[in-house]
Amino acid sequence: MKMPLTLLGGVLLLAHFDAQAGAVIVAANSDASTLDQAQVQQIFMAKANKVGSANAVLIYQKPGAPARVAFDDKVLGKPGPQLTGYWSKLIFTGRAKAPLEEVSDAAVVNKVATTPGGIGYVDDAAVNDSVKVVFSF
Amino acid sequence: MNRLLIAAACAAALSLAPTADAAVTISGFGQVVVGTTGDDAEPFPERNFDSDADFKEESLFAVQVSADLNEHIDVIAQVLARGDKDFDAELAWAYANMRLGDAFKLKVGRQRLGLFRYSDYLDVGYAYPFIRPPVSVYNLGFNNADGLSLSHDAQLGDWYSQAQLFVGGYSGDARFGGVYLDTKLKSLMGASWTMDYNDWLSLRATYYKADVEHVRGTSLDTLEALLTGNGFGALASTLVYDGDRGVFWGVGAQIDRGNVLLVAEFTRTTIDDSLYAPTDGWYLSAGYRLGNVMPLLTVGSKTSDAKLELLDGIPTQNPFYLPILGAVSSQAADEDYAGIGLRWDFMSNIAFKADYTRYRSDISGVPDSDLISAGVVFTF
Repeated sequence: MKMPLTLLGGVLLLAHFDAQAGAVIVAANSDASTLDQAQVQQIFMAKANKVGSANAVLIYQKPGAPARVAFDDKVLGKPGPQLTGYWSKLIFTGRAKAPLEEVSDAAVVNKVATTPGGIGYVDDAAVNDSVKVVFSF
Repeated sequence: MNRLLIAAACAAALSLAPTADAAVTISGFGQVVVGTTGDDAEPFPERNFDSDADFKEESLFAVQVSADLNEHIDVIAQVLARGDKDFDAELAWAYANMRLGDAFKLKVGRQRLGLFRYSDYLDVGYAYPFIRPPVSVYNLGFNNADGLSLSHDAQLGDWYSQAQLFVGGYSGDARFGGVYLDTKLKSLMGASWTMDYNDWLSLRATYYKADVEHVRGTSLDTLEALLTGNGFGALASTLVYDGDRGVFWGVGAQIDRGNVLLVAEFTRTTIDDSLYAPTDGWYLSAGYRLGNVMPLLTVGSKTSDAKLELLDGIPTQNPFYLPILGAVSSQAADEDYAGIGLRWDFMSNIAFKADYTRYRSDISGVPDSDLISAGVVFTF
């Protein structure tokens, strides 16, 4: 029996779909609108310093955390040490402060929801009503 | 004295942060590097390595304290202890950083001069791939200065522009050729401009000029004293750096795409009306990422054209003809560097580096040298 093309396509898509489906989140009451990848990169690499109308407060996860590994690679294009190298240049020249690092998706959600200007990334499953999604990856 | 200095820097930062909102962050970086020039022990330029394994020459530790005074101003102090100064802690930076609007920042105080691509984080080995930024270019011994800098950052379509203007001066011990020389520069001013295209191309240009007040501690001091003491004061002033204009300019480019890293810089330094030979330096580095390991090849060269024309106006019967000829010709340099290095990021915030660099000089009497080094760089 021939599989309809769309179903086949869907199966192939599922087969390639990465385990990590993540979301970039801001507080539910933030006035930030949805962002494209370039904007997300600029914010998380301290080149743009606003989330909506508030000063950005960057919330990363610890190096090695699954959400971080996926985010650094797929969204920022700087996996692992490339990103920490980039940040060390900013921190030790006084250009930017080290971003906060939270230990889990739940901790990130909590921090983002309660910090004006907070922005972070979590697995889709951790998103709740206290935050809203501005970018998916 | 050193512990007092660190304590004072921390106390200053903390005392300036009185409000509950003020955040004080302490971070740091360092490296432990060992190097040797092998059994031949020929000197390697700008460094003091010899046949023994030297753990101090390039090792260093630094602590940086920053305190937010309010939304617009933070103060930053960085205390650095270098192995080549017996780990005597010094205040490398201490400045107030003011955000003026979204794009402008004003820094007042002791800060890094943006002469080279890696200037801003020269001491942060963790931030660059080679074990040391190539000596063919990175041989200007002063990296920090006191003054004001105004910087402007802007996203212009696919380009991210960072421009900086600096005005100030320098007074301290600058390291040239592995030796610390008492150096004073006035009216030190310049600009640097970096343009980054998307996330893979970076172009940079920089221009600085200064009035050299003095550089003391070289054999030129003795020659000057001899000349002035024997009625050749005018001749002495054509040789020394005092009161002369120094100019530095450089261009650089970096491609960091996928697994490939290519970086190159070219610089030219001159000091008018002195025996300082106009010096050109360049390097090209190519690296390739294999997971967390990056092998790296670097080539570079430094040439200085001795100002032999300075001898034209001096009769050969002048009793100081030979010492002057010696001083002027000793400025000549024609050096080539070729090296292979490795960086391995084996843990978060820690990397291992190794390097083998060959130094060859075409000036007769200057011996060739090989430098083997390895180390661990980290941030915390």
